[in-house]
Amino acid sequence: MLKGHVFTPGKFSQAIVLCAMSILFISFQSLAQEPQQEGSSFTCIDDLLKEKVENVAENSEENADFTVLFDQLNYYKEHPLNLNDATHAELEELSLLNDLQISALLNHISRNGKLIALEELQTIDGFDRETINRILPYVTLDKSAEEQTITPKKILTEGNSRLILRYQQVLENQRGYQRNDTIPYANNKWYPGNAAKYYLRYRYTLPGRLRMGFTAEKDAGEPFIDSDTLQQGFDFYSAHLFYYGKNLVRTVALGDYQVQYGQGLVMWSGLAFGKSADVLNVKKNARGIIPYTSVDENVFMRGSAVSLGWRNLYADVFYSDKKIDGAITTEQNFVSLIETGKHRTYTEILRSKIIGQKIFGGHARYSDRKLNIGITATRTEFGDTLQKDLKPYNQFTFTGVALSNYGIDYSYLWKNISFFGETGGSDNGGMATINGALLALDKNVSLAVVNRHYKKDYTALQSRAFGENTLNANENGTYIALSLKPVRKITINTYFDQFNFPWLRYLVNAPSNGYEILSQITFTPSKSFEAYFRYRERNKPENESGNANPVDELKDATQKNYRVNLRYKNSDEVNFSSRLEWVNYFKEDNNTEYGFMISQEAEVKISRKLSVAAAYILFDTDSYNARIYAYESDVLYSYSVPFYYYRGSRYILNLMYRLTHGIDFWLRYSQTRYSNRSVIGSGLDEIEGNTKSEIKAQLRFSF
Amino acid sequence: MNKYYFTFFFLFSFNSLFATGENISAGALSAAVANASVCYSDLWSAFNNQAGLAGIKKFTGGVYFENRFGMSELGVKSFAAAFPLGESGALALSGTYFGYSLYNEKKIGLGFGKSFGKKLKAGVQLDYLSTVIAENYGTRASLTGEAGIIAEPIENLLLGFHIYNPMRAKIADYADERIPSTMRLGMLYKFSEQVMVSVEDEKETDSGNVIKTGVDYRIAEPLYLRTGFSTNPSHISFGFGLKFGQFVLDAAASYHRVLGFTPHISLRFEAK
Repeated sequence: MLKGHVFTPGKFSQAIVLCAMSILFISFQSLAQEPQQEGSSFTCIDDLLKEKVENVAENSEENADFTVLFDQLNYYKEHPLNLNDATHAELEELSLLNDLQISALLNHISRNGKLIALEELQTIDGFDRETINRILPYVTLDKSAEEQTITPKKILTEGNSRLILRYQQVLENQRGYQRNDTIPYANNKWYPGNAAKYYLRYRYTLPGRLRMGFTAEKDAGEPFIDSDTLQQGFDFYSAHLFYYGKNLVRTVALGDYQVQYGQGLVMWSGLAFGKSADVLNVKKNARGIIPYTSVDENVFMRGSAVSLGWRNLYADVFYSDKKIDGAITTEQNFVSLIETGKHRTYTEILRSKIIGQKIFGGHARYSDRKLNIGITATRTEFGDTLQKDLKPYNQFTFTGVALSNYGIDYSYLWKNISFFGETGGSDNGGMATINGALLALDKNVSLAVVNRHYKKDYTALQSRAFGENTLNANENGTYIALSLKPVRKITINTYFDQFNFPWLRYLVNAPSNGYEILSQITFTPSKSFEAYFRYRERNKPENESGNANPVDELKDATQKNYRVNLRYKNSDEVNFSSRLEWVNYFKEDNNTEYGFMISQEAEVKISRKLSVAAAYILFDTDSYNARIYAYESDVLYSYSVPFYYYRGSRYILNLMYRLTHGIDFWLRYSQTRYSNRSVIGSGLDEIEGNTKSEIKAQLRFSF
Repeated sequence: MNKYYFTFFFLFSFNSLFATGENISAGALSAAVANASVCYSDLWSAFNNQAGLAGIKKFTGGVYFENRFGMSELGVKSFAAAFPLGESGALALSGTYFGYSLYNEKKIGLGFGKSFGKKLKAGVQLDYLSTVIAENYGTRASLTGEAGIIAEPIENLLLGFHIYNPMRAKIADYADERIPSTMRLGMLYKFSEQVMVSVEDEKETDSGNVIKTGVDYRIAEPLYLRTGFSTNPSHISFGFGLKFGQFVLDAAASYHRVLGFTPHISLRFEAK
């Protein structure tokens, strides 16, 4: 019964692995080469991005892998984008500039010639100091070495490689690791593997021409080499090979990749940013076919994809065929998908990679500097018929064996207004549409408006467009956002989103409606200091709690969130940030639940070789409902957004040491201590005690 | 017919969204910026803040219609006419009819606004209110007043304050029923000739505090685009304004979180 979980790479991915490995070994010999200079030692992202990923974390399951959201930024950090040569598409991919800023930049360059210094950006409309500071780590004016031809010599000498090895483990004894051979494995009472998580990642980049990568991961509790479960090696492998061309063939992708089109209404595999204090950034900039670098084990494409381009016309096709995790319950006769990616217990292994999933489709696009029009069609086919435990609320979600989606998307720039939108349909007749506009009313006032209508029966399994729900369906709403600079040094960002759900939702037994408000005032008195105050209020009805009647009444649940954040940054050497956060959660007829958090973070570059980051956090929350999410410092390429509830303290020590040219080492230790808990977690992850500590070590070879 | 009885029940039971004698604003411009209009100076200042009447230099008249939540029984019909008085003041006569034959509220106002130097305007108004409930309930009438100021302490930054019915006029002895008082405090910043952003807080005696934000954008000379949102209950609004000759046409649509759409329209005429 344990077949299926053993990795059997297809022919092409075997070839990729071999190819990657041979390059790796050859390149080790040429290690003497100067590695590229890199700015920060830790995953240093700016406050707005931190806040965005906090919001993504709030809406995704625990331990989601956020790598994929930052892959492009990491790429640009290592290979800065030359603003003088950048195309509209490349500037969009940077995802830090809006359409109006991009257009202003391109117009400036075509009118005044190439930028001579980055300071010149300040003279361009829509580029304020915050925007410039945000993009600085990722852009340059130096001529980037764009390769015109690919020769074996260039692959070896001009490309660059990164090899990352990471180890991570919770130090306390969790219940699942108390292996007891008297209890059969099939009882799901213990994990066969150790508590360590191993991660290996290799990347090869020949800027603009080739990208290649290989990732392998073993989660905590998964066996590495185990005769009982027949496991030999890592639990998850992923590899990709991307070729980028300048002529008719623009991209050829083999292996694992992701696909994003339009506003994400029809096809957007993986995570996407949603509402945040970056209030104007509501238009999604789809990147088409992109490498898959994350370790989320179910949500990606495995197969091949090709993108062709001719003048202003582009066409993509993609095909993916893989097995995903699922649960088959024979007695109730339903089949559902499982997305945790954990394969530790007997049941989890049994459910591993048992449902075949084919996703294929295409996209065609006309694109110039002002106008983009695209059409997308995609079909998903499962090896089994997906059925579910039918409840009133999930009536309209997907069942069956196959699903087709199609859609049309556009964006258009007219004077100081950027319009965008997408309309999609599913083969059951469901429709959805999202339309928006971004208006630069003045150099100090910008406005964004987004309207969405997703019918209750719209079904798209890879949708990630703007909205409250994870998948786009059963939602109408209007979002208005305003960004104001009334005086120099002060920015006010605010949004108001009013929405309704025409059908029931999970734990909401009636059609419902709600709203969300955010207002943030940022004060930037100098280059090195920034302070902001943020208020957020969310209101959504939920079923009344503790109800014994057959009918659940809806009660308004309101969460209010107040935050003060201070940051002091002195060049790249010293970086302090402090945060106070209050939450109160109130559900009609219940008591208000409160939460509070205070944190202090410091990042100091002690010498050219050594950097240290430390953080200390105190938290005190009444309940899970009043939990607080906070982004925290982590080793490079790793992202951590824990949430705090109950009462206690946490600290993090994060250290980076450059062993020698091209070899960096990270060590991170974190510990949370609860003062009103004697047991942490539940089930097999339960820890008896009030302390949870984790160690993380990472080695990176750059060559 | 049942539909509006239900709505009445709904409105009165949840929230005194419009208790008898509530101050009803007017002008589709005001509606488009979520009624964050306490700092505006135009004809509709006769409803929103009489201090704004002080800006009127020529005879101006206009009408306003609103169909609350798309129901004619909840319609609002208003008119206003303003006559300049001397160099710095203006007198305005205004009226409102809300409701339908079985239930309606009427208001007649006589207001005066005057400026005191360039930085300060003030206004007052006397109101006659009457409420009709059909069948044997009859009619009640009362007198009340309102007043407001608009100041410009810093160039392009306006502050507005308005109070309606400060004496809490009585409608009926039964349960000491009184007309609610309303206070509004707002701020408007002119970012440029094209863009104005306003923020306002409004508190009515018996209902929750409302925070409103509005944006008014002149996209081209005759055309204005507007949007706004307000809390408690949550509301969003959009609108446009069009100038042609001596006429100004404003239209707006506002969307209440639960009760849905309300269309608003107003037309204004200014003498040469």
